[in-house]
Amino acid sequence: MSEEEVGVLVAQLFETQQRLSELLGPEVDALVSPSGTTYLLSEAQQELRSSEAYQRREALLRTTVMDALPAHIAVLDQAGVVLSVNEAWRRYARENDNRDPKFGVGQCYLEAASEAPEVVVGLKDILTGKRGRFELEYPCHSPTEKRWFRIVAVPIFDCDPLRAVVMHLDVTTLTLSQQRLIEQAALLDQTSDAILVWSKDLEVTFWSKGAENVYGWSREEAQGRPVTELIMPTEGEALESLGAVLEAEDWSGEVEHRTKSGSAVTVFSRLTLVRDNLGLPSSVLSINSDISEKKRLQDQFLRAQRLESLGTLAGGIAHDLNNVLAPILMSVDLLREKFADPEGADLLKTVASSAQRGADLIQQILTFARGVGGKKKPLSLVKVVEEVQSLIHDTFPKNITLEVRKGPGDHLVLGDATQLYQVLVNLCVNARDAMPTGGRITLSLGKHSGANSERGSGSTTSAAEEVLLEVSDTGSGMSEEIQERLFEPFFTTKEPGHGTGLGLPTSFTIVRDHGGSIEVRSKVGRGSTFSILLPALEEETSVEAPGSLREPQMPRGRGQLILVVDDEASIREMMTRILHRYGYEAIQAADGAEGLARYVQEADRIAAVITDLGMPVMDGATLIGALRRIDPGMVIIGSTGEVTPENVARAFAAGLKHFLPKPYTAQDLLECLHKALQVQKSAGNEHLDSLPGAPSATAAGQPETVLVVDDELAILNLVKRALGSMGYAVLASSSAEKGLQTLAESSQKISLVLTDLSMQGLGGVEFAKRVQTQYPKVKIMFSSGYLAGPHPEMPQIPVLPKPYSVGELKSSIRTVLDS
Amino acid sequence: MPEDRILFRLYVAGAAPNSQLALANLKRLCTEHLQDRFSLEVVDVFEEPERALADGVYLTPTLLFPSLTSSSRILGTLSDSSQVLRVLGLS
Repeated sequence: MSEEEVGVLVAQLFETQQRLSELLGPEVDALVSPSGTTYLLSEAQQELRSSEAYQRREALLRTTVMDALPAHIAVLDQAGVVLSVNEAWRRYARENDNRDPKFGVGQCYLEAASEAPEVVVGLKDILTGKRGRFELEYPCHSPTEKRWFRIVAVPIFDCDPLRAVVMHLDVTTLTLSQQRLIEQAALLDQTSDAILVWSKDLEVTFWSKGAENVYGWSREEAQGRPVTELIMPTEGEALESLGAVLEAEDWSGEVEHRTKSGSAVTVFSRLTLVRDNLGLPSSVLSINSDISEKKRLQDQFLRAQRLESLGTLAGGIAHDLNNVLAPILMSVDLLREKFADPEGADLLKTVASSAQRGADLIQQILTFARGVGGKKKPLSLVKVVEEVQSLIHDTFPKNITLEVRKGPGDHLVLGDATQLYQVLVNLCVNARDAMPTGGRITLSLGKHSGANSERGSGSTTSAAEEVLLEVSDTGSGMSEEIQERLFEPFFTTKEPGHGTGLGLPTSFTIVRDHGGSIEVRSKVGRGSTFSILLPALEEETSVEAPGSLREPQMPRGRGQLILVVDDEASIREMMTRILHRYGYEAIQAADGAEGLARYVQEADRIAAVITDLGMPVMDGATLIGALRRIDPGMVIIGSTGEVTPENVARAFAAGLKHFLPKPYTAQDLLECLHKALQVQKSAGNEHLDSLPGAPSATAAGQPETVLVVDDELAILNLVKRALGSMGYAVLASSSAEKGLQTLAESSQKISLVLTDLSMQGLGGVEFAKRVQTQYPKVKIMFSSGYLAGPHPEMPQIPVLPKPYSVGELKSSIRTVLDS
Repeated sequence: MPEDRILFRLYVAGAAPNSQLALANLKRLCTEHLQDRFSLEVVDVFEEPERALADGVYLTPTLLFPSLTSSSRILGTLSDSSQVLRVLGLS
């Protein structure tokens, strides 16, 4: 073999290799010759040689990196046996698994992990080449602590057979903080406050459930949108607060925000600037409490307070005004006797009715302000409706027609005629104002037999029988909103100056005071109907005939000395004059202290004390207490213009028994005094039969005695009182038998017998016959509920038909006695 | 199932780098696209040169598709998986 030939062949080999690599590029590494010999290309040879060193370096590097990683890492062969592990794995195994090293090198991972089937299945799939990388999080709690791991399994493809890398990451801290975040977010959602966070470019990043409720935007809608667009109005404090919080870290205040629907909501907003870990402003935390409702309640409270002070004010004014009106009313009664000519009487009538109107007005203010109940008497609503009817007829425009529908009966209720009249007038005036172009008002009165009324405002009654009073109009009607607020004080739909906003609240108070209820039905454009339900009285109840009190039936005194205590000089003067005029004597005192002094001076002679309750130095209640200690039996009448439950209760607690509200007429004063003296006289003698009336001197001279016989005790009492006030001595018997007994005892004194016709036991006619036979001098008069003319059996005996007024009683008795 | 199983035959030269790369690339491709619908036969030309000669393979790595009617073969590291997919009609 010549060296030359070898050199040529080597050159050829080099050229062949050059040519092959030119032709085949870098991706080929071996050739197979037709002889079956395989030639590794030189690049591949070099690479194989260098890759051994490289692999050694790589292995070292890999081990270092793996050991440095915090995750627990293991390499598994195709059967799942652990081939190698990193330092973290070894450490974990040492700490948790040392007694039974399930997870050590040489152990089968698939068997050790059999408790986590998902992991086993996933790994098997990887090791058979069926799937790639997977991740799984799982709890791995030890008895002492809670831990969570994330397992990451990755196939190693460049091994044959396949291997896999299994990695365990301890995610306990992460999981715990995530859980805490979830819990905290849930807590934030629990509060009704709107909690929101926005980034420094104003985009919403957090939006609590409370925020959804307050603003109407759902979390999805709000997230990522500018907060200014969502809830901030285009101007105002809310917008300014955005700048303020950037400057001052914190900001809080009341602001108006907008809701999704565009309506305003008042919130108390607290803004806090949140900084990132570099200390730069990153976002704003905003906690907003919806205070719209609170605001509304506050307003309502303020309104109630305003009302309260109005009540106090009105009470004070009413007191003074009543003191002004009292002398006027009393003077009128006195002057009536002096000016008997028609013109004078007419003027006095005007003065009296004006003063009375003033007094009524004051009563109305007091009714509203204090809910003071007026005097309730059995009364017929028919009369009240008739009065309203005539008022409407006289004063309402002619384009308004009035229709009155009355059911049969008197429709009796226990009430204050003035107040109920006022309620009806209020409703009618409102009806008129709702019909500026005319229309029809319907007043209807009827029975209502519901068990009770659940609907409507005010208290409901359970009385089976109720009186229903309705006022309907054909006017403009009212919206739901207006109906809601109807009974609020000072709420008015009328032009300023045309309504006080007190009419309906006052009506409401009055109706409620009467144990009734008031309700409204209305539709815009369809008119309104106000319904009042009042507890009905039984029809038999005796009704004081209207007008009877206006009859000047002045009971007279018999020279008794009366002590008048009042800090108003004009009232003292006037009372003294009235008392003098009607047969009393009077001495005066300007306050409680002086009153007490005068009383001590004249104690023996004084028959009664009339004292104002609200006075300086020593007030009425104190005086009453002091007088009671001196003489427990003394007749004391308390009087005040300002009737409040407190001062009246205090006076009664001090021993007051008689009460005279201001303003009062001369008649009120005299009747009250008369009654008080009478009660004192009859104290200790409550026996009904033969109870003596007050014998007093009449114009005729000697007191005449009347025997009243009636088995209706209410009538018996009424007649007894009325005759007593006229100056007659009265004997009363509740049956004809008892009447005969009384006659047997004192027939000498008795001038007249007034007897009912139909009575239990002995009837009126039989009784009258016996009286006629036994006591021919005694005069007899029948009173009857069914007879209008003379009785057929005894046509000579006069009959007084029931019901009769006090005036009728007086004149017919006079006639019989004088005959 | 064997009917629609795809057969691969990859000729490699021992642990030579391009051959190993081709094998790894092929396995990854099969796992990602074929799940278990394939069979892979790896032939080392150092050990079975006669099979290479019988298949007419002179260079490694070379991939054959015995189950396909076409006589396509791909030479190289198979780094471009779309080449293989195209032959399989899966691209």
